[in-house]
Amino acid sequence: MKDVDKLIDSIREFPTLPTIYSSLLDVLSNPFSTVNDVTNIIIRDQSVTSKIIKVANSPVFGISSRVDTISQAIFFLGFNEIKNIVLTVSVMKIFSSTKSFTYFNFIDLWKHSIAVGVITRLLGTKLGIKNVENYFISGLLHDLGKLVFYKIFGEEYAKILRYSFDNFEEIRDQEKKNFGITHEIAGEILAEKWRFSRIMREVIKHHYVFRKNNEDDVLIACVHLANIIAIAMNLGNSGSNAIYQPNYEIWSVLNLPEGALTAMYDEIMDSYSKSIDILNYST
Amino acid sequence: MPKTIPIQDLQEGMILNNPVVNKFGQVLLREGTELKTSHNKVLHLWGISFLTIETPNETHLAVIDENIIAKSLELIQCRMKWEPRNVHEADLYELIKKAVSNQIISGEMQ
Repeated sequence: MKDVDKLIDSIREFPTLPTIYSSLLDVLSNPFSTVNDVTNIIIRDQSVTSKIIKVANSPVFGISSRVDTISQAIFFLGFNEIKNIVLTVSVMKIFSSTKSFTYFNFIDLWKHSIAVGVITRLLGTKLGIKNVENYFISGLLHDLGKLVFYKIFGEEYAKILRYSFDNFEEIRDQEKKNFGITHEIAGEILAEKWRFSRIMREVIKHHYVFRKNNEDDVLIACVHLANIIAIAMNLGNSGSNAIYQPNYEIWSVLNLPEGALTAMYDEIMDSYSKSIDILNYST
Repeated sequence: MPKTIPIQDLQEGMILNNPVVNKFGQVLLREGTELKTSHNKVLHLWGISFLTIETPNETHLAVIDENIIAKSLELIQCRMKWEPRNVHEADLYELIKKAVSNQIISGEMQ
Protein backbone atom coordinates (compact mmCIF):
# COMPACT_ATOMS: atom_id res chain seq x y z
CA MET A 1 0.00 0.00 0.00
CA LYS A 2 1.11 3.56 -0.71
CA ASP A 3 2.14 5.98 2.02
CA VAL A 4 -1.17 7.73 2.72
CA ASP A 5 0.46 10.89 4.09
CA LYS A 6 2.57 11.25 0.94
CA LEU A 7 -0.53 10.76 -1.19
CA ILE A 8 -2.45 13.41 0.73
CA ASP A 9 0.53 15.78 0.33
CA SER A 10 0.60 15.21 -3.43
CA ILE A 11 -3.14 15.97 -3.64
CA ARG A 12 -2.55 19.17 -1.68
CA GLU A 13 0.23 20.05 -4.15
CA PHE A 14 -2.20 19.84 -7.10
CA PRO A 15 -2.19 22.94 -9.32
CA THR A 16 -4.47 25.71 -8.12
CA LEU A 17 -7.52 26.54 -10.22
CA PRO A 18 -6.96 29.32 -12.78
CA THR A 19 -6.92 32.87 -11.31
CA ILE A 20 -10.20 33.65 -13.10
CA TYR A 21 -12.03 31.30 -10.71
CA SER A 22 -10.52 32.67 -7.48
CA SER A 23 -11.07 36.27 -8.69
CA LEU A 24 -14.67 35.37 -9.43
CA LEU A 25 -15.15 33.88 -5.95
CA ASP A 26 -13.76 37.08 -4.42
CA VAL A 27 -16.04 39.32 -6.49
CA LEU A 28 -19.11 37.17 -5.80
CA SER A 29 -18.45 37.23 -2.05
CA ASN A 30 -19.16 40.96 -2.25
CA PRO A 31 -22.96 41.44 -2.24
CA PHE A 32 -22.59 44.76 -4.08
CA SER A 33 -20.85 43.24 -7.13
CA THR A 34 -22.46 44.05 -10.47
CA VAL A 35 -22.81 42.24 -13.79
CA ASN A 36 -20.00 44.45 -15.10
CA ASP A 37 -17.64 43.41 -12.28
CA VAL A 38 -18.16 39.74 -13.10
CA THR A 39 -18.02 40.27 -16.87
CA ASN A 40 -14.76 42.22 -16.60
CA ILE A 41 -13.05 39.36 -14.79
CA ILE A 42 -14.16 36.75 -17.32
CA ILE A 43 -13.44 38.66 -20.54
CA ARG A 44 -9.82 39.16 -19.54
CA ASP A 45 -9.27 35.64 -20.86
CA GLN A 46 -10.71 35.36 -24.38
CA SER A 47 -10.27 31.59 -24.76
CA VAL A 48 -12.09 30.98 -21.46
CA THR A 49 -14.81 33.47 -22.47
CA SER A 50 -15.64 31.59 -25.67
CA LYS A 51 -15.69 28.24 -23.85
CA ILE A 52 -18.02 29.64 -21.17
CA ILE A 53 -20.43 30.90 -23.83
CA LYS A 54 -20.42 27.51 -25.56
CA VAL A 55 -21.04 25.64 -22.31
CA ALA A 56 -23.76 28.15 -21.31
CA ASN A 57 -25.54 27.36 -24.59
CA SER A 58 -25.41 23.65 -23.84
CA PRO A 59 -28.94 22.22 -23.33
CA VAL A 60 -28.06 21.16 -19.82
CA PHE A 61 -28.56 24.72 -18.59
CA GLY A 62 -31.91 25.04 -20.34
CA ILE A 63 -31.55 28.54 -21.86
CA SER A 64 -34.35 28.95 -24.40
CA SER A 65 -32.55 31.48 -26.64
CA ARG A 66 -28.91 31.54 -27.72
CA VAL A 67 -26.47 33.70 -25.74
CA ASP A 68 -23.48 35.36 -27.40
CA THR A 69 -21.98 37.42 -24.59
CA ILE A 70 -21.02 36.90 -20.95
CA SER A 71 -23.48 39.56 -19.77
CA GLN A 72 -26.32 37.78 -21.63
CA ALA A 73 -25.26 34.48 -20.05
CA ILE A 74 -25.30 36.15 -16.60
CA PHE A 75 -28.74 37.59 -17.36
CA PHE A 76 -30.20 34.17 -18.18
CA LEU A 77 -28.29 32.01 -15.73
CA GLY A 78 -27.32 34.24 -12.80
CA PHE A 79 -24.00 34.68 -11.02
CA ASN A 80 -23.95 31.30 -9.32
CA GLU A 81 -24.47 29.26 -12.50
CA ILE A 82 -21.82 31.33 -14.32
CA LYS A 83 -19.44 30.60 -11.45
CA ASN A 84 -20.31 26.89 -11.88
CA ILE A 85 -19.55 27.04 -15.61
CA VAL A 86 -16.21 28.76 -14.94
CA LEU A 87 -15.48 26.01 -12.42
CA THR A 88 -16.43 23.30 -14.98
CA VAL A 89 -14.15 24.79 -17.63
CA SER A 90 -11.32 25.31 -15.11
CA VAL A 91 -11.42 21.78 -13.69
CA MET A 92 -11.62 20.22 -17.16
CA LYS A 93 -8.62 22.30 -18.21
CA ILE A 94 -6.51 21.04 -15.30
CA PHE A 95 -7.23 17.43 -16.21
CA SER A 96 -7.07 17.97 -19.98
CA SER A 97 -3.50 16.71 -20.31
CA THR A 98 -4.27 13.44 -18.49
CA LYS A 99 -3.21 10.49 -20.63
CA SER A 100 -5.50 7.57 -21.41
CA PHE A 101 -4.28 4.00 -21.18
CA THR A 102 -5.38 0.89 -23.04
CA TYR A 103 -6.86 -0.49 -19.82
CA PHE A 104 -9.21 2.44 -19.33
CA ASN A 105 -10.09 5.52 -21.34
CA PHE A 106 -9.91 8.67 -19.22
CA ILE A 107 -12.59 10.34 -21.38
CA ASP A 108 -15.04 7.61 -20.32
CA LEU A 109 -14.72 8.85 -16.73
CA TRP A 110 -15.71 12.34 -17.91
CA LYS A 111 -18.62 10.91 -19.92
CA HIS A 112 -19.87 9.15 -16.79
CA SER A 113 -19.52 12.42 -14.85
CA ILE A 114 -21.51 14.37 -17.46
CA ALA A 115 -24.22 11.69 -17.35
CA VAL A 116 -24.43 11.95 -13.56
CA GLY A 117 -24.60 15.76 -13.85
CA VAL A 118 -27.40 15.60 -16.42
CA ILE A 119 -29.42 12.98 -14.48
CA THR A 120 -28.94 14.82 -11.16
CA ARG A 121 -30.36 17.98 -12.71
CA LEU A 122 -33.26 16.09 -14.35
CA LEU A 123 -34.10 14.49 -10.99
CA GLY A 124 -34.04 17.91 -9.33
CA THR A 125 -36.41 19.27 -11.97
CA LYS A 126 -38.67 16.22 -11.64
CA LEU A 127 -38.87 16.83 -7.89
CA GLY A 128 -39.95 20.40 -8.50
CA ILE A 129 -36.82 21.91 -6.91
CA LYS A 130 -37.01 25.62 -7.73
CA ASN A 131 -33.30 26.25 -7.77
CA VAL A 132 -31.43 23.45 -9.53
CA GLU A 133 -28.35 25.64 -10.10
CA ASN A 134 -25.94 23.41 -8.21
CA TYR A 135 -27.38 20.13 -9.47
CA PHE A 136 -25.45 19.70 -12.72
CA ILE A 137 -22.04 20.73 -11.32
CA SER A 138 -22.50 18.55 -8.23
CA GLY A 139 -23.16 15.51 -10.37
CA LEU A 140 -20.38 16.43 -12.78
CA LEU A 141 -17.72 16.68 -10.10
CA HIS A 142 -18.91 13.94 -7.70
CA ASP A 143 -16.03 11.67 -8.78
CA LEU A 144 -13.34 14.35 -8.54
CA GLY A 145 -11.27 11.90 -6.49
CA LYS A 146 -11.15 9.40 -9.38
CA LEU A 147 -9.79 12.12 -11.66
CA VAL A 148 -7.20 12.85 -8.97
CA PHE A 149 -6.15 9.19 -8.68
CA TYR A 150 -5.98 8.88 -12.47
CA LYS A 151 -3.79 11.98 -12.74
CA ILE A 152 -1.44 10.87 -9.92
CA PHE A 153 -1.21 7.12 -10.55
CA GLY A 154 -1.89 6.98 -14.32
CA GLU A 155 -1.66 3.45 -15.67
CA GLU A 156 -1.75 1.88 -12.19
CA TYR A 157 -5.18 3.42 -11.53
CA ALA A 158 -6.35 2.64 -15.08
CA LYS A 159 -5.60 -1.04 -14.35
CA ILE A 160 -7.53 -0.86 -11.06
CA LEU A 161 -10.55 0.66 -12.80
CA ARG A 162 -10.43 -2.04 -15.45
CA TYR A 163 -10.01 -4.79 -12.88
CA SER A 164 -12.99 -3.57 -10.84
CA PHE A 165 -15.10 -3.24 -13.97
CA ASP A 166 -14.26 -6.69 -15.34
CA ASN A 167 -14.74 -8.42 -11.99
CA PHE A 168 -17.85 -6.55 -10.81
CA GLU A 169 -15.91 -5.42 -7.75
CA GLU A 170 -16.25 -2.26 -5.76
CA ILE A 171 -13.68 0.27 -6.90
CA ARG A 172 -13.56 1.71 -3.37
CA ASP A 173 -12.23 -1.59 -1.96
CA GLN A 174 -9.43 -1.60 -4.53
CA GLU A 175 -8.63 2.05 -3.83
CA LYS A 176 -8.42 1.41 -0.09
CA LYS A 177 -6.24 -1.65 -0.63
CA ASN A 178 -3.85 0.06 -3.02
CA PHE A 179 -3.81 3.69 -1.93
CA GLY A 180 -5.10 3.64 1.67
CA ILE A 181 -7.97 6.04 0.94
CA THR A 182 -11.02 6.04 -1.33
CA HIS A 183 -11.73 8.48 -4.15
CA GLU A 184 -14.33 10.23 -1.97
CA ILE A 185 -11.61 11.23 0.51
CA ALA A 186 -9.16 12.17 -2.26
CA GLY A 187 -11.83 14.31 -3.90
CA GLU A 188 -12.73 15.98 -0.63
CA ILE A 189 -9.10 16.96 0.01
CA LEU A 190 -8.81 18.61 -3.40
CA ALA A 191 -12.25 20.23 -3.11
CA GLU A 192 -11.12 21.86 0.11
CA LYS A 193 -7.92 23.14 -1.49
CA TRP A 194 -9.91 24.49 -4.43
CA ARG A 195 -12.39 26.29 -2.12
CA PHE A 196 -15.43 24.36 -3.37
CA SER A 197 -18.71 25.28 -1.68
CA ARG A 198 -19.63 23.30 1.43
CA ILE A 199 -22.50 21.57 -0.38
CA MET A 200 -20.23 20.34 -3.17
CA ARG A 201 -17.71 19.01 -0.66
CA GLU A 202 -20.57 17.12 1.02
CA VAL A 203 -21.64 15.62 -2.33
CA ILE A 204 -18.08 14.51 -3.12
CA LYS A 205 -17.73 12.96 0.33
CA HIS A 206 -21.15 11.28 0.67
CA HIS A 207 -22.40 10.53 -2.87
CA TYR A 208 -21.65 6.82 -2.54
CA VAL A 209 -22.43 6.07 1.10
CA PHE A 210 -25.47 8.28 1.55
CA ARG A 211 -25.98 9.45 5.11
CA LYS A 212 -28.94 11.56 6.20
CA ASN A 213 -27.65 14.95 7.20
CA ASN A 214 -30.78 17.08 6.62
CA GLU A 215 -29.53 20.28 4.99
CA ASP A 216 -28.21 18.90 1.69
CA ASP A 217 -30.03 15.55 1.70
CA VAL A 218 -32.06 16.05 -1.50
CA LEU A 219 -29.08 17.04 -3.65
CA ILE A 220 -26.84 14.27 -2.26
CA ALA A 221 -29.65 11.72 -2.70
CA CYS A 222 -30.11 12.88 -6.33
CA VAL A 223 -26.38 12.41 -7.05
CA HIS A 224 -26.42 9.02 -5.29
CA LEU A 225 -29.30 7.83 -7.47
CA ALA A 226 -28.00 9.51 -10.65
CA ASN A 227 -24.69 7.69 -10.21
CA ILE A 228 -26.47 4.32 -10.07
CA ILE A 229 -28.62 5.19 -13.11
CA ALA A 230 -25.58 6.31 -15.17
CA ILE A 231 -23.72 3.09 -14.28
CA ALA A 232 -26.77 0.93 -15.04
CA MET A 233 -27.44 2.68 -18.37
CA ASN A 234 -23.75 2.37 -19.39
CA LEU A 235 -23.39 6.10 -19.94
CA GLY A 236 -19.63 6.56 -19.88
CA ASN A 237 -17.64 4.38 -17.52
CA SER A 238 -16.93 4.99 -13.86
CA GLY A 239 -14.95 1.78 -13.34
CA SER A 240 -18.02 0.20 -11.75
CA ASN A 241 -19.88 -2.48 -13.62
CA ALA A 242 -21.89 -3.75 -10.67
CA ILE A 243 -25.18 -1.91 -10.25
CA TYR A 244 -25.33 -1.29 -6.53
CA GLN A 245 -28.55 -1.01 -4.55
CA PRO A 246 -29.57 2.53 -3.59
CA ASN A 247 -29.40 3.47 0.07
CA TYR A 248 -32.96 2.86 1.29
CA GLU A 249 -33.16 6.26 2.99
CA ILE A 250 -32.98 8.16 -0.32
CA TRP A 251 -36.52 7.11 -1.24
CA SER A 252 -38.09 8.92 1.72
CA VAL A 253 -35.84 11.93 1.08
CA LEU A 254 -36.72 12.14 -2.62
CA ASN A 255 -40.37 11.09 -2.46
CA LEU A 256 -40.44 10.54 -6.23
CA PRO A 257 -43.77 10.03 -7.99
CA GLU A 258 -44.37 6.40 -8.89
CA GLY A 259 -43.02 5.53 -12.34
CA ALA A 260 -40.96 8.73 -12.53
CA LEU A 261 -37.69 6.94 -13.28
CA THR A 262 -38.92 4.87 -16.25
CA ALA A 263 -40.60 7.99 -17.60
CA MET A 264 -37.23 9.78 -17.58
CA TYR A 265 -35.57 7.40 -20.05
CA ASP A 266 -35.99 9.50 -23.21
CA GLU A 267 -35.07 12.75 -21.44
CA ILE A 268 -31.90 11.18 -20.00
CA MET A 269 -30.78 9.86 -23.40
CA ASP A 270 -31.59 13.13 -25.14
CA SER A 271 -29.91 15.43 -22.58
CA TYR A 272 -26.87 13.17 -22.30
CA SER A 273 -26.26 13.00 -26.05
CA LYS A 274 -26.63 16.77 -26.36
CA SER A 275 -24.46 17.57 -23.34
CA ILE A 276 -21.53 15.33 -24.18
CA ASP A 277 -20.24 18.16 -26.40
CA ILE A 278 -19.14 19.95 -23.23
CA LEU A 279 -16.05 17.75 -23.44
CA ASN A 280 -15.10 19.37 -26.73
CA TYR A 281 -15.60 22.90 -25.45
CA SER A 282 -13.77 22.49 -22.22
CA THR A 283 -10.67 20.44 -22.84
CA MET B 1 -45.13 -3.11 -21.53
CA PRO B 2 -44.10 -5.37 -18.66
CA LYS B 3 -44.12 -3.66 -15.28
CA THR B 4 -42.70 -4.83 -11.98
CA ILE B 5 -45.03 -4.26 -9.04
CA PRO B 6 -44.95 -5.08 -5.32
CA ILE B 7 -47.37 -7.90 -4.45
CA GLN B 8 -49.53 -5.58 -2.36
CA ASP B 9 -50.41 -3.76 -5.63
CA LEU B 10 -51.68 -7.01 -7.20
CA GLN B 11 -55.16 -6.67 -8.67
CA GLU B 12 -57.66 -9.21 -9.88
CA GLY B 13 -57.24 -9.91 -13.60
CA MET B 14 -53.61 -8.83 -13.97
CA ILE B 15 -51.58 -11.10 -16.26
CA LEU B 16 -48.14 -12.37 -15.27
CA ASN B 17 -45.48 -11.37 -17.77
CA ASN B 18 -42.76 -13.54 -16.21
CA PRO B 19 -43.16 -16.81 -14.31
CA VAL B 20 -42.93 -16.53 -10.54
CA VAL B 21 -40.07 -18.71 -9.33
CA ASN B 22 -38.75 -19.45 -5.86
CA LYS B 23 -35.09 -19.20 -4.89
CA PHE B 24 -34.56 -22.81 -6.04
CA GLY B 25 -35.75 -21.94 -9.54
CA GLN B 26 -39.03 -23.85 -9.20
CA VAL B 27 -41.90 -22.29 -11.13
CA LEU B 28 -44.69 -21.34 -8.73
CA LEU B 29 -46.92 -19.54 -11.24
CA ARG B 30 -46.58 -19.72 -14.99
CA GLU B 31 -46.17 -16.76 -17.34
CA GLY B 32 -49.60 -15.70 -18.63
CA THR B 33 -51.39 -16.66 -15.39
CA GLU B 34 -54.38 -14.45 -14.67
CA LEU B 35 -53.96 -13.26 -11.10
CA LYS B 36 -56.63 -13.34 -8.42
CA THR B 37 -56.60 -11.37 -5.17
CA SER B 38 -56.23 -14.66 -3.31
CA HIS B 39 -52.76 -15.01 -4.90
CA ASN B 40 -51.56 -12.13 -2.73
CA LYS B 41 -51.62 -14.23 0.47
CA VAL B 42 -49.98 -17.26 -1.18
CA LEU B 43 -47.25 -15.17 -2.78
CA HIS B 44 -46.58 -13.58 0.58
CA LEU B 45 -46.23 -17.04 2.15
CA TRP B 46 -43.81 -18.04 -0.61
CA GLY B 47 -41.67 -14.99 0.22
CA ILE B 48 -42.29 -13.30 -3.15
CA SER B 49 -42.19 -9.49 -2.95
CA PHE B 50 -42.48 -8.43 -6.60
CA LEU B 51 -44.19 -9.59 -9.79
CA THR B 52 -43.79 -8.59 -13.41
CA ILE B 53 -47.13 -8.09 -15.07
CA GLU B 54 -48.39 -7.07 -18.50
CA THR B 55 -49.73 -3.55 -18.80
CA PRO B 56 -52.25 -2.51 -21.46
CA ASN B 57 -50.15 0.33 -22.90
CA GLU B 58 -48.14 -1.08 -25.77
CA THR B 59 -45.05 1.09 -25.82
CA HIS B 60 -41.50 0.74 -27.07
CA LEU B 61 -40.57 -2.30 -25.03
CA ALA B 62 -43.64 -4.17 -26.21
CA VAL B 63 -42.15 -4.50 -29.68
CA ILE B 64 -38.86 -5.83 -28.38
CA ASP B 65 -38.81 -9.53 -29.00
CA GLU B 66 -38.62 -12.01 -26.15
CA ASN B 67 -35.03 -13.03 -26.95
CA ILE B 68 -33.88 -9.47 -26.39
CA ILE B 69 -35.73 -9.19 -23.11
CA ALA B 70 -34.25 -12.52 -21.99
CA LYS B 71 -30.76 -11.37 -23.03
CA SER B 72 -31.14 -8.06 -21.22
CA LEU B 73 -32.34 -9.81 -18.05
CA GLU B 74 -29.34 -12.10 -18.24
CA LEU B 75 -26.96 -9.12 -18.60
CA ILE B 76 -28.62 -7.28 -15.72
CA GLN B 77 -28.49 -10.33 -13.46
CA CYS B 78 -24.68 -10.44 -13.76
CA ARG B 79 -24.44 -6.83 -12.60
CA MET B 80 -27.29 -6.49 -10.15
CA LYS B 81 -27.25 -8.70 -7.07
CA TRP B 82 -30.30 -7.31 -5.31
CA GLU B 83 -34.07 -7.41 -5.43
CA PRO B 84 -36.26 -4.30 -5.53
CA ARG B 85 -37.56 -3.46 -2.03
CA ASN B 86 -40.21 -0.91 -2.99
CA VAL B 87 -42.03 0.61 -5.97
CA HIS B 88 -39.19 3.06 -6.66
CA GLU B 89 -36.61 0.30 -6.90
CA ALA B 90 -39.00 -1.66 -9.11
CA ASP B 91 -39.25 1.48 -11.25
CA LEU B 92 -35.43 1.75 -11.33
CA TYR B 93 -35.28 -1.89 -12.42
CA GLU B 94 -37.70 -1.16 -15.28
CA LEU B 95 -35.55 1.79 -16.38
CA ILE B 96 -32.44 -0.40 -16.39
CA LYS B 97 -34.26 -3.10 -18.40
CA LYS B 98 -35.40 -0.51 -20.94
CA ALA B 99 -31.90 0.93 -21.31
CA VAL B 100 -30.19 -2.44 -21.66
CA SER B 101 -32.80 -3.76 -24.14
CA ASN B 102 -32.42 -0.66 -26.30
CA GLN B 103 -28.63 -0.99 -26.21
CA ILE B 104 -28.90 -4.61 -27.38
CA ILE B 105 -31.18 -3.52 -30.24
CA SER B 106 -28.87 -0.70 -31.29
CA GLY B 107 -25.92 -3.11 -31.27
CA GLU B 108 -24.07 -1.33 -28.44
CA MET B 109 -24.20 -4.53 -26.39
CA GLN B 110 -23.82 -8.12 -27.46
